[in-house]
Amino acid sequence: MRERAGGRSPSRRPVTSSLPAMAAGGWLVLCSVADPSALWVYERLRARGRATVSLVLVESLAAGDVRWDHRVDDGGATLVLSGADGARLDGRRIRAVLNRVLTAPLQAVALAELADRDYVTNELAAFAPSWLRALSATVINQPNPHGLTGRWRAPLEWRVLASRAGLPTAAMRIASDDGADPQSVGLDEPSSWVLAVDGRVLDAGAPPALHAAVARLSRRVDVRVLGLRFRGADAAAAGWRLMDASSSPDLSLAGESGVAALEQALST
Amino acid sequence: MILLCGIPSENSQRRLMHALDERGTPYRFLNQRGTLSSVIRLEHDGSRACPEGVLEHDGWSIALDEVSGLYVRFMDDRLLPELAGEPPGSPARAACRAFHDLVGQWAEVADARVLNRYSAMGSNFSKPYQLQLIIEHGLGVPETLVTNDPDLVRAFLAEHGHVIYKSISSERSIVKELDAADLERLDAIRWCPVQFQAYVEGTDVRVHTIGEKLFATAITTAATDYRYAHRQTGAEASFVPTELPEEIAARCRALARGLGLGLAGIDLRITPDGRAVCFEVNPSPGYSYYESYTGQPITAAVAAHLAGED
Repeated sequence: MRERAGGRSPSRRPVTSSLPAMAAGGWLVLCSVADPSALWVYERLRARGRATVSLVLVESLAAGDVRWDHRVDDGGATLVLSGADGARLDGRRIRAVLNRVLTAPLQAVALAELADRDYVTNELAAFAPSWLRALSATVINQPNPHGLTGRWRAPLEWRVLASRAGLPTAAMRIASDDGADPQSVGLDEPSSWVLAVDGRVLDAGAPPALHAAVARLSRRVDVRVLGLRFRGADAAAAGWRLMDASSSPDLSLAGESGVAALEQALST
Repeated sequence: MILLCGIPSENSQRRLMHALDERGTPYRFLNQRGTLSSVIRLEHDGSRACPEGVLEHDGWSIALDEVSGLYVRFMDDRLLPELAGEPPGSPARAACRAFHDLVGQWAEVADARVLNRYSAMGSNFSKPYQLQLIIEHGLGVPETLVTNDPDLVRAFLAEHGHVIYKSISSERSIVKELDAADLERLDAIRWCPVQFQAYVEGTDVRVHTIGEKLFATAITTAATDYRYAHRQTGAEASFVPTELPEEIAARCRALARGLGLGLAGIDLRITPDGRAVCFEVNPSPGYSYYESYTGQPITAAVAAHLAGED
């Protein structure tokens, strides 16, 4: 709350919340309405029936009628969300979360006074990794202040880390005066993505050495669900050379075996 | 070779250059004001554990693998005076951003002592997130409520009697006591959750850790936020070197290590019963401020750490 704190009147609420009735010990898929692969995984997890699965859309959390109760003390951190209809989401009842939050719910920023918008944006963005981390003892992937599904890394860093893990990578060169975007340089050639969950590469053609290296990489970066971008439309033919990676990959990359791996991850 | 990055007139940098001169330790200074004419080139061959490259600045150049110690204290490059008048997205702004971006990328993976890597500094971007990490390292934290519900705030105040509020992000804000005037405008939090904390009685202690070295400074003031003691109370705070119980010192070292911070400014309050409550960890501490009051040799420790001597 700043000296000049000022949102507009709550009577101008544009969106209403939609919180699910969570079964104790259930799983939660938290994603955007614009995340088709996460929505598909939600449907598949529900159909497989191993646990009760609920869905929360990030967009619904921006509603003005959602009450946030996030506490941190020596005993740990908790999060309880309440909707105007009495619906209540208590993180202590959630066994595991599939976290696909790419950006904090920021829709309310538009309702803040103009002078406060930057401040409100920073505050909501800073709030997100904390409440996400408190949502359950198991949050996959774990949020970070530099990336809500895991810390964002540039292609250069991924390649260096992959090399240290024993993974062949595509060579790259970049300079500050070459006009290229340092955050996406070296990604303008044909490539293919592969999903890895808990260090296991979900591609039948991946050689054993690749599995071992990816397992090391996954452990070192502490990211359980990882998308790996390899050079070439056919990664095997191009020698499995890593170009980039992502902590928010397309979850449908490996089809049903990807869902099974996610199911296993949420169970452990 | 040690590389210092930032604004050379800034106090911590001036002291650090002086300390390195006194030691006779060679270093280069990357003056951020001159980055528009600087170039960094990076190359990764697909197998090395570190990228190779070169940095060119102000008439000198160094191979990046010669850098064994790196101190980074950049100001927000968007606010550099050299960019004043440049429209958003101009070539000069883009080149400046690319330069800073690549220095940061290199620092992340450099085989050097780096104070500090951006990745390690990230936890301070979200204070309640950082509190969760602090708990895991065995230090106490203030009872904290982040909410947009005025009723919860009133209940929290009724429970604790004395409550402060401050920003969630690293955007600098003055810690303020929640008072009657604030309660009148509590509905303003509806659109943006605010961080409230139970007030903790005790003595403020700023702990600087540099590797395994530790300097503790006790601060005495009646102000809610000692950085603004004169504004809040009309009197300056006093700064005195102090010793921490070894158990608390060990937890501070472990916390800084766990966060990946070779240099950290840890804000503690020691309660009357001897408990250490940690408010936050500053990953880019202005240690010269404390050193100037106490004479504690913090800069010398930073210089020694960069030189690989501890």
